[in-house]
Amino acid sequence: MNKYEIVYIFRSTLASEELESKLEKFHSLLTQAAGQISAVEHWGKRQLAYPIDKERNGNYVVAQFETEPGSLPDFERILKLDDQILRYLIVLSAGELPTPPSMRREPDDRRGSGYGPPARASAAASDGGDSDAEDKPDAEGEPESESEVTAEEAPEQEERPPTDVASDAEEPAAPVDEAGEADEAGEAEEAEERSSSDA
Amino acid sequence: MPRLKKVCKLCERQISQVDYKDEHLLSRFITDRGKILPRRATGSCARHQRQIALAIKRGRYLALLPYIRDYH
Repeated sequence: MNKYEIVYIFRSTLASEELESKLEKFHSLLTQAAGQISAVEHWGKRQLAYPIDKERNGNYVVAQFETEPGSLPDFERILKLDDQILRYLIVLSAGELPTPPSMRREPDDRRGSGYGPPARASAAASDGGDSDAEDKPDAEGEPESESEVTAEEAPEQEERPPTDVASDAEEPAAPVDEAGEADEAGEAEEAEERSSSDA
Repeated sequence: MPRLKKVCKLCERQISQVDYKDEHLLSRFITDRGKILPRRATGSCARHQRQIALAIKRGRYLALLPYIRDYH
């Protein structure tokens, strides 16, 4: 028995009930051959990095299972015959999580079993389409965006007590401090980048 | 000026196995055109560089990462 992981990419036009029934069909092939499915995760519809068979989006499903290597050729034959599958990849599982933690943060993804935000429904509701583009940079530059936030908050705090606005020249001790910290953080990051780019 | 010794980012983060599904992580090891960055650019250790390369190739096959980005 070996542990495997499979990623399916279904056509995004495939209805979710059909997708489920197909998954059930495929996985029953494995369980009939004394295999065991340990995890199934739905990533939902996401954009492909390049078009496959003229499709720009795909419906991703990741599953982990355990089976005898001998049962794989039959399994793969069925997958290859299914024209609703754009692509699939079976690899020996190296103990990866079905969904990497860094991807789990993106609220755009609709996941199946148990992980992340509770909600297919809420994700679907807030999923305007453009939310994807907005979310990614957020997840990307966390330290940077945090320092930006503090820098942005500082002027707001200045505004809140109206009496202080007049004595601007004397007062801004606290906001300057915050800005200074943000600067330091920025410099540290720059220094890191510099050291890594100096070859 | 002495060269700064680069430390493998993945060793620092104690990642024992690079996950081909983690496009967020892998995107740091490709150029903006989608090419795999060499070790001299990223400072990766040999073991992790091999894992990164394999993971990127799998990620490309699954359309998580581009083979070529913005090619006209």
